[in-house]
Amino acid sequence: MEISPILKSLRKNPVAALLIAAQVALTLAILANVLFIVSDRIATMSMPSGIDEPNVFTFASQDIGEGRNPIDGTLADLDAVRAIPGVIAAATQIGIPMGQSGWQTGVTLKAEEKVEGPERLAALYMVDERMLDVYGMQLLEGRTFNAEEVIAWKTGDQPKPPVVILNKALSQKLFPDGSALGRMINITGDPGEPAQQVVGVVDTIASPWPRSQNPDRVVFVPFRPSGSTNFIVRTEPGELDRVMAAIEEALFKVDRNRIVDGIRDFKTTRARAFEGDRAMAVLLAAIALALLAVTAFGIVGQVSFWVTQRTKQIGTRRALGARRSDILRYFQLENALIVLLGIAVGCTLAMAINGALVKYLSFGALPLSWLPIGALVVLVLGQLAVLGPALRATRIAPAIATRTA
Amino acid sequence: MLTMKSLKKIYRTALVETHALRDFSLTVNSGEFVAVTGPSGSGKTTFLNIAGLLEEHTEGQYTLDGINVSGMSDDQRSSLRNQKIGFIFQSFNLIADLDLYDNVDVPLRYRGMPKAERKQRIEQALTRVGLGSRLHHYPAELSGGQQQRVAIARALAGSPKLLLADEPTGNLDTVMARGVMELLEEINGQGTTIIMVTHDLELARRAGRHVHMVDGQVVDIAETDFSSLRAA
Ligand SMILES: Nc1ncnc2c1ncn2[C@@H]1O[C@H](COP(=O)(O)OP(=O)(O)O)[C@@H](O)[C@H]1O
Ligand SMILES: [Mg+2]
Repeated sequence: MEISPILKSLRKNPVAALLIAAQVALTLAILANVLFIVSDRIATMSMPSGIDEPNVFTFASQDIGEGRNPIDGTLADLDAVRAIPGVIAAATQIGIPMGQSGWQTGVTLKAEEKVEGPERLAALYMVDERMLDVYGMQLLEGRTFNAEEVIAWKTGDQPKPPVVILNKALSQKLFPDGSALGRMINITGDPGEPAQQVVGVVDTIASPWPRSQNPDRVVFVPFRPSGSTNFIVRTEPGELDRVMAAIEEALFKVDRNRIVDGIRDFKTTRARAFEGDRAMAVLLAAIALALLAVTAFGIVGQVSFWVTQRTKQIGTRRALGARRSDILRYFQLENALIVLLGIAVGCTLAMAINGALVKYLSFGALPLSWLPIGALVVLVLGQLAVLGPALRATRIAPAIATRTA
Repeated sequence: MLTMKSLKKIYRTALVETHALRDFSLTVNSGEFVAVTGPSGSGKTTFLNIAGLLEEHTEGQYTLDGINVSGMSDDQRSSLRNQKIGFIFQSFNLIADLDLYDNVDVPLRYRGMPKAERKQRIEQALTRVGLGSRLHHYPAELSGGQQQRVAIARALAGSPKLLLADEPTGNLDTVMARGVMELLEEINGQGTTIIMVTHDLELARRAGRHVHMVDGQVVDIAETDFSSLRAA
């Protein structure tokens, strides 16, 4: 209702107001993109691994010297680990979700088919007959491997098993129209007749590389890595720390000629996998906060200056019958109008910045819903920033009208 | 219209207490034109500010249009000011960024008047002070005398019962001052009570009553022969 005189007097003295609006526009444009990128990173960081995260840890064991038979040694190690109270299951492994190292292979359905691009790639996990217990995972169809199918595996062996298990994502990718059970696939990555039969499908499980373009496709093969290898252990709830602390001693009892290291709970594994994302999110959030602060202080400074500059005008308005709340509202409305102008420009600018990010840095397109959220943030910020100086304005005495030249 | 009994106004700062009004008593009746004179620092502006509810008195009793204003809230004083009082200032106090129309509109908006009524009053008030053709000019485009006329239009537009003017001609040359004075007399002639502080004894003598202040008190109240003045 008091909008038109406010607009008129802003139009008469537009420079400072336009500068604030420009700052708000820039802030909004950057804020909307930062909010989007940060929320995108947070979504990435919280993607499911598919395993019983709180109760899983991993470690590596390396044999020193030529002492023991690697196959028997590994079996003895596994027995020793499983004997630790609180352990549900343990296995040697290649392939831990989000572990950032492991195997990847091409999967094809026909002899002449070639593996081209990431479309046909899947992570390859070596597991034994206890895979469901080890990962804490659900079987959706078929069966798991039985003990007779599991073969001891040493570095250099070519994995060409007769049977494989797929996770849901790979199964749907390869056989979008029906069940994968009983179907033959080729997981060698080389051209050739499909020779691996699918015997089971398990639920979601992430690949070791959550930041790759195909983080969700996994094929399981029945091999038990032996000798110097990685282990995965799943414990009863609440027993993780105790078992992790006991692991080294239990293995030293089997054989002292070894190095046990990299004992790491899954929480750490996940954090390491997304370190870059977290750093990026924190950095961007800090930049956004700094930008918001600069804008807020810019508004505080400008409005404080206006209050001083308009002291006599404010006193006169009070003398003419303005209540304190009228003075407050004047500054609030004025700020809202300036910020709204900034928002209008800022939305366009936000789309332009996002356009450049999409084009040159292959970011996703900014969902439009971030614009009203960003707009609300700068609007509230503006109102908070204006409050202090505006309240000071309300305390200007009406007598100023007669007491100043 | 206005009754002040034994008013005191004390300004306290860390170092000094200034008794701006001491035992100040005055009654102004409806329709009067009162001129207030006195040396600088004698408390004229203080009196006007208290009369116009811009400041609160320290002690004593003040009744404005039958209302005891002691102890009123800031909001109540604001709306009373808005409805009953028009102010004219020495330095005009127009808002430079608003045109004449919007300047006169300021007090009307605070009264929450509908737009159509405001428009009618604004145009009427500006026409009355001879500026009806310059609604959308800005104050800087006018002479001092014209600016003071705009201020008078602003004060009049809300049809106040009481018009308070603190040295309204203080910043004007003699010709312009006479023009403003004539306008005030005309307004008073139509029934509005006016209290005007002035340094100009010539103008003071033209008022219906002349109150002289020294050191925060009324020292002399001279009734002027109204009829002879009008004839002059
Ligand atoms: N806000 C104030 N604080 C302290 N002293 C004041 C204030 N306003 C006015 N005074 C003092 O009160 C006295 C009366 O001032 P004023 O009413 O402005 O006089 P006049 O208008 O007659 O020149 C002066 O001594 C002045 O210095
Ligand atoms: Mg004075």
